[in-house]
Parts: sequence; structure tokens; C-alpha cells
Amino acid sequence: MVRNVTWRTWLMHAVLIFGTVILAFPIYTALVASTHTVRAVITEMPLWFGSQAWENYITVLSGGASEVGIPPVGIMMFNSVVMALGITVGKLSVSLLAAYAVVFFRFPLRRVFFWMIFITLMLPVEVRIMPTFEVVSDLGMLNSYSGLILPLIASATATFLFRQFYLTIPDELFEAARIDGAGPLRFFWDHILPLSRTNMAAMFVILFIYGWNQYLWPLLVTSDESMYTVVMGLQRSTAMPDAIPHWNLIMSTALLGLLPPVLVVVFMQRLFVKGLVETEK
Amino acid sequence: MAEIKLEEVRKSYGPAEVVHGVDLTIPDGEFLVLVGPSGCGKSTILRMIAGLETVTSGRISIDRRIVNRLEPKDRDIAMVFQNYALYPHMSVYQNMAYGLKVRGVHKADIHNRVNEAAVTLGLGEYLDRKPRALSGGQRQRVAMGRALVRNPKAFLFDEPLSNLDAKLRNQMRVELKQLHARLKNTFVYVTHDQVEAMTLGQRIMVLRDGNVEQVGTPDEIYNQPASTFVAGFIGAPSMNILSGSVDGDAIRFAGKAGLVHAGSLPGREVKIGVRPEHLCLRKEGEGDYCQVRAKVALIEPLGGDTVVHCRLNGGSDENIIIRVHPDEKVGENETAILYFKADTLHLFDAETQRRINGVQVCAG
Ligand SMILES: Nc1ncnc2c1ncn2[C@@H]1O[C@H](COP(=O)(O)OP(=O)(O)OP(=O)(O)O)[C@@H](O)[C@H]1O
Ligand SMILES: [Mg+2]
Repeated sequence: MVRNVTWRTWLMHAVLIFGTVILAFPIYTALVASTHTVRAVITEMPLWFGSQAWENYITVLSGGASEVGIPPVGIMMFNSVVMALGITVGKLSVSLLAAYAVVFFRFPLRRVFFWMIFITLMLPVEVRIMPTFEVVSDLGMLNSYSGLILPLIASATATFLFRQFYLTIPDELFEAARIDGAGPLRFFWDHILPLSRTNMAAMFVILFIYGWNQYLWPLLVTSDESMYTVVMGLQRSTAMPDAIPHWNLIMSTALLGLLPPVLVVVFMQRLFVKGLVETEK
Repeated sequence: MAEIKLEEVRKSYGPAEVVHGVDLTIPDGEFLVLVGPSGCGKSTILRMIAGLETVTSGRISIDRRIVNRLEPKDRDIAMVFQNYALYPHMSVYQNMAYGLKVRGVHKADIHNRVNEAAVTLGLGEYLDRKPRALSGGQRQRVAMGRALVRNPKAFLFDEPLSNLDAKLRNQMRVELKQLHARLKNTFVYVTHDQVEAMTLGQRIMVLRDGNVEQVGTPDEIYNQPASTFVAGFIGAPSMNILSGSVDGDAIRFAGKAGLVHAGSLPGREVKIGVRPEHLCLRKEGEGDYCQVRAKVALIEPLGGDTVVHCRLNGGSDENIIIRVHPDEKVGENETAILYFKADTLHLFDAETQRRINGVQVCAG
């Protein structure tokens, strides 16, 4: 028995290590590439770290990579952060309030409204991209943060999640607050928001990464380099006409662009897990 | 402090009417208990008084002011819920202070009132805890404290003790009674427990399927139940209800035993009610005793007294329960003669199930 168990433990670990290596390999490659000169990377892809790390990162961070088609990374990061935070905060606010309306208020066609929200699950930006672009462009929001953010802030997923959570809040809580003299807005602020804290944290992580990874939409609505986000800016820089892509610098930029979502996950992990598994309030 | 008045109050959910016209005046400072079986509309009536439920028709007034269209917060009432409904993310202190804070009471004033209530309820050392770190009894006290600090015109309770264990329930019952004696506010208390109703209520309203069966003091409810339903609902073990038939000026029941009545009875059939504690196994002193023969089916010793389940002889196939002193020697399957005084029995109309008053009976 004992031998059997150790054998199985070994096998399990082997499988896990193998999976981890496969997942980590691209990141390793990017790390390695970001430490070499462009010549080394293009001629034969090295498998071990080079000595150009400092130079490469300084170049991208100081905006010196513009000549080779990579927009200044600081501006792109800033744009990405603004967009991701805007989308996250927008989605959270809209869906918290929408779910509140659907669960706690009796108004005509309540169910119809809920299902209308629900159906938008089937209409992500990619599907409605032409009309949405038309609207944003008519409103003169091309090349602006509002143009990047607004079309993305309705979220059926988050509304649904909060609705499910609100449904678990006993009616008596609302009634007790009514007797205590709290109106609907006060109840929302004093009770619903604090009770939704962990759910909000979980949604924050998911939505921030969703916002950060937006690619198609920023590609369409931004033509001005000063509005580029990291994810799309990178793509632009790999497709420079009549030039070799500077993979070493591109990879440095990509790794820098990975940092914010990683930090969000690392710092919110505990709340995130709690928000997903916790049912008791 | 306030008088609460209900006039012809009805409540419907869609087409279904669940409260069929309740008239009730609760004088200032009274402890009124609403009692009845599950689903009879007790909570609905209480919630209409609180303003959590709209009134379909009729009028509710508190302190001479019609409140039908008033929000709960404007009625100056406090309510204690069955599951306490404490705010889970707030400490005990914040839970109690919340209603005052929303009303814009001064911080120092809130502090004094919450601390005072905490002392009254013995919650002093728990003020910083969250509700989930409290026992059921402590949560219950916090719920009471939340009502207490506001010093409202009336307190409404919806089965506040039903989630507690038996011992704690008895203790809290006593404390509630003392609290009322001290505060002298109007209390409206919903329960399905007849012991709570009898011990707490200055007056009791017995409900059945949304109708008022009887309103009266515990003494009236117990000694002059207005219907067979009230008779059976209040008192444990419940009152024995036997069928009787009217034959001239005699009433026959349990086969051949009989009663003589003076007065007019509405029909040919009556119900005769006798409380288990009014039945005994032998005559005690002189008196106008009736007697029935019965076979002992089951004996339940409760310690303080013994409950004996019997089956009446005489082919009527009725069960009768008696409560006797534990020293009484009876064995199962024995035949016993049960005695009761004619003036302890209750007469009901068999058709309407209502009490028949003003008819004198004696053993015959
Ligand atoms: N929201 C509602 N919609 C439809 N019917 C309801 C609603 N609330 C209560 N009822 C019905 O009204 C009747 C009275 O309910 P109520 O809650 O007042 O009973 P209760 O006497 O408090 O019972 P319990 O002792 O079980 O709490 C019940 O038959 C119930 O089914
Ligand atoms: Mg109830």
C-alpha cells in the first residue's frame, strides 16, 4: 500500500509539474527574449538569459523604442489602467444598481427587464461592433477614455451574480431597516454594499482582467498613439511595415503589461476566493 | 405610548382573502397577544399594523391617527422579528444604534440610550461583537434592544421566542413580562404557543383562518371559551369535546349519561366540553356530579400530574383525557368511573360550534 501511494504521488506530481512547465514556458521565453539584443533573438532564439535586460527595459520605459514602432510604454500602461479601472468600476456600479432594482423593487415589467438584461449576455462587443462603433463615433468619442470605457460597462454577468446574492438576503433585513427608518438608497448604502463586499472583490478581479485584456475595441476606437493601450499597442508594434519586429523590446513591454493584472490577482486573491465560495453572510 | 385601533381590517393576496374583517381596540399600555394556528393570519395582521403590508380595506389607527398610508418609519413602532433580522455586518452597538442614527439623533444621546438598553438586557460586554458571534438568546436580546432604544409608541413582536430552547424561552418570557411592566408601552405579541399567550397577555385575541374567534382576558378565554375551537386551542391537554343530543329537557351523551337543562337550546345536537383537570376518579365532597364510564387506554405520567387517556363506554367511541394527581391508582385496560361537576362543563352549539350561554345544567 505504502509503495503504491508513493508511486501515485510521484505520478501526480509529474503530471502537475509537466502542466506547470507547459503553462510557464511562454512566459519563460518572453523573459529570456527580453534579455537579449534583437539580433540574437531573431537569428537563433536563445534558451538562457542574456545580458541586455537592463538596456532593454530602460529603452522601453524611457520611450526610446518609439523608433522601432513600440509606443511609449508608460502612456500605454496608463491608458490600460484607466480603461481597465473605468470598465471595472463602471460595470460594478451599473450591475450593483441594476440587480438592486430587479430584486428589491416591484415595478411593472420587472421580469421583462431582468430578461432583457440577461439577453445581453449574447451580445458582447464583438457581436455589436458596427453599431456600437457608429454610436461612439457619432458622439465624437473616438480616441477618448469615455469611448474606450462606456460601451463596455453594461454587464449581464455581474448583474446576474449580484442578483443571486441579493436573493439570499432575507426580506426581514429590508423590513427591519424600513422600520428603523432607512429608505431604499440608505438601505443600499448602509446594508447592501457592505454585505456585497466579498462578491464585489471577486467581481473586481474578474472584471479588471477582462478590461485589461480588451483588444478589438481599443483597436477600433483609437487611432491616436497617445490613446493606445498595452494589449493593442503590442500588436501594432509586431506588424510594422518594412521593419523587423524588435522582439526583445516587444517582450519587455509584454512583461511589463502583465504586471498590473498579476498584482491585482495576488493582492485580491484572498478576498476573491472568499467571494466565490462564501455563501453565508 | 398609544392606543392601536383596527376597524374592519381585511387583507387579500390577489383573489385570496386571508384576513376577513378584524375589529380590535388595543388600549394604551396593553399587552395584547395574537394567537392561533399556523397560517391563520397573525403575522399578516401584525405586519399591517407595522406598515410592512398594505391594508386591503378597513382602517388602522395608532394614537387616533389613521396610519393606512404611512410608511413604517412614520408610525413610531418597533418590531422584533422571529429570525431577529439583525444586520450581519454591524456590531451589536451599531445594530442598536442604527435606527437612532438614521433618525438623526445626537451621537451622545445615542451612546447613552444604547448603553442603557445594553445594561437592561445584559449585553454590556457584547457591544463590539458581530451577530454571528452571539448565541441565539443573545441575538434575541439584541433584537429587543434595537426596539428598546427607540422608545416607540408600540412594540410589535412576531414569535420572538420560537427559535430559543425551552429553558431560555421560559426565562425570556418572564423578562418580557417584566419589561412590559416597567415600560408600560403598548405591546402586540404574536405567538402560536398557548402557554406564552396565557402567561403574557393581558388580553388575548384568538384567530382562526383570518377570523377572530374570541378576544378576552386569559381568564375569559380559559373559562368561557367562545367556541369549540378556542376551547380546544387553549389549555393542555386540550378540552374534551363530547357530542350530546337534546331530548326534551334532557341532554344525553356518552351513551346513557345525562344532564338536565333549563332554558332553550338552539338545536337537537350540542357539544359538551370538559377540561381534563375537571375530571376526577372519585367524588370530592358534595356537589352536583355527573359520571361516565370509560376504559383506560394509556397513562402518561408527567411527574407533577398524570394524564390518562380513556375510551368512553357506551358505543359512542369517543376519547376522553383526564389529568389526575400522580398518586391516583389506575391501570391500563381497567374500567373507571369518571366524575365531573355539572357547573364545570361548557355547552356549545353543534352546528355553529359557538358557546351556548345562559343555559343552566345539572346532573340528571
Ligand atoms: N405574500 C403572500 N402571498 C400570498 N399569500 C400569503 C402571503 N403571505 C402570507 N400569505 C398567506 O396568508 C395566510 C396567513 O399568513 P400569516 O403569515 O399571517 O400566517 P401566521 O398566522 O403568521 O402563521 P405562522 O404561525 O405559520 O407564522 C397564509 O395562508 C399564507 O399562505
Ligand atoms: Mg407568522
